[in-house]
Amino acid sequence: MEDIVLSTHGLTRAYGRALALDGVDLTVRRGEIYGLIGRNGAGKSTLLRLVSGQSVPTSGSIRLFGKTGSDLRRERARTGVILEAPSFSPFLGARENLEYYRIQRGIPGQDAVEEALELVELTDTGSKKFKNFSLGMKQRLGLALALMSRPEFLLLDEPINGLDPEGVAQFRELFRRLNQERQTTILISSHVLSELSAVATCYGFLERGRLLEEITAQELRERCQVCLRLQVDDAVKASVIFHIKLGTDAFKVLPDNTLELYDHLDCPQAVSQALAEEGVFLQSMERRGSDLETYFLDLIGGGHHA
Amino acid sequence: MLNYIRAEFYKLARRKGYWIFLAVVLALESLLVWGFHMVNASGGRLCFEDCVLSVVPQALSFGGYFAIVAGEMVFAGQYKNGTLKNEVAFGLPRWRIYLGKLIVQLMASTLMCLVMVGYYVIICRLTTPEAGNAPVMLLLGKSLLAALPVWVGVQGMICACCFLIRGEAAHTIAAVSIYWGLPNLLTFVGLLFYQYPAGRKMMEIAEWTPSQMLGYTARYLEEDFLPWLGWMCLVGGVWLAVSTVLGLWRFRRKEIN
Repeated sequence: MEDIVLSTHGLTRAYGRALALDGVDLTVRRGEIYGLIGRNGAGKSTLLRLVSGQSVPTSGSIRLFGKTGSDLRRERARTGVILEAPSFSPFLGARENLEYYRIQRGIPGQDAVEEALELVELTDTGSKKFKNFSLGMKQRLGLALALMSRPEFLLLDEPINGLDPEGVAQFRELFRRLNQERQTTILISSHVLSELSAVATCYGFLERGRLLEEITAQELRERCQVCLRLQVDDAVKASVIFHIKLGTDAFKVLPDNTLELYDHLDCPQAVSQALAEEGVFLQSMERRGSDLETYFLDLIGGGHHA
Repeated sequence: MLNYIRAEFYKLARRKGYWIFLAVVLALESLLVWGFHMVNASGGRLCFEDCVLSVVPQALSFGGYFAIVAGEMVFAGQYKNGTLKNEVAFGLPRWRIYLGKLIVQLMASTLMCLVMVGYYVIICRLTTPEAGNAPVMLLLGKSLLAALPVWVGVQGMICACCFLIRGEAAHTIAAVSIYWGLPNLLTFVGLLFYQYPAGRKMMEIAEWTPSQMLGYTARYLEEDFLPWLGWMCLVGGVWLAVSTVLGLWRFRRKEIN
């Protein structure tokens, strides 16, 4: 079984002279919940549109379940997609719309429709037509369609748009369940970074069509962990002082005589005093640490919101 | 492909517009036949033969407009509603999406045609006396047989318009313009420049457009029918082939929103 579900190599999409995506190398591994983060116009939707076949790359390649080129299209049947606003025939109801796609996709058994509607809690729409659905109901139906063929890989573009807080929590729980119980790999793009950080197991940061960084949630936690970052003239001696005088091993020695101390965060004076008493010159000390949003803003250069 | 066609029929059967359109046409046919009946009631001598042969072969060019309506009903605003992306994202090949819709459009318009003509013939038979020696059903069959290939060609053009032009109104206008406007434009420009060979050529080309050929079919029902049928097949086939190849080629890499 392939370990890598999706990989892109040098993926580029130009609209005229403007590059919507510029040489993106992205990797999504089996079992991951991959959070794709970027500002408006960063290229998130373009990336998902290319992967789902709605747009054709200007250059570069996409590999889905290990297949590329002409074999790529067939592998899309193993995916479920919500892209931008969910779209259905306005004159049909929820069941009729799903039944239409069930027949079209050759999914056996009418239970598939009911099962998908139950998963997204949309069983009681009766004869209400899609055109009369609220945004949240449309989003639920979009997810039901994406789930109906029991996909191995879900591509979700802003899936919680229009959902009320209860709906957001239900979707979050559903994504976790699908990931854990069905081993569904999920790629989610979202502006709501707090929601993304609640489910994602790794992240990709897109900015102006370029993938700036891919990191795991564990790496992000470590980078975002609150600490005192100190620059001293002798890091080895400072680490001995932390160990003996401050009685802590919660620190990390970095290059350039820099240390990160994860203890004694509330009393930086005691730290500087201990170093001074043993003759270690403290050049700088700052408190560091952030959440996903701050990390993202730092990464893209700050000042803008996702 | 079979699943795709089944699904399209599932959706079409639930389109109220399709059934309303059919009901309106059948009601208009009933009104026309009621008019014939009233003429007979006031001393007229309209027979079954008159009612069928004076209407159906003359109205073949209307079939092109019905093809446009059927095309619209089947395509069902896929760009406007954004539903094409659901099909492409599941990995359905684009040629299957295109040809599947074309096949369903052809089947839906043929079904519509059979119901309209069948209903008209039946109510004419029930309300008007049979008289005269003309083989009504044979001539009717010949009319439809000759018209069918050209209708198929027109349907191919409509399908290409639906797939290649995003706006619902825009592709309807384009289809009507090509079907009705093109021969009239060619004739008009041809008349303006009749003194030049190019002008006369334009008028000749206008004669070979679907709407004009359908209009001429009534003249060939009794004599030279087979050569005419051959020409109808050729013209319909060329329209279908050219529009389908062009449509498939352009749709192959079209951005789906």
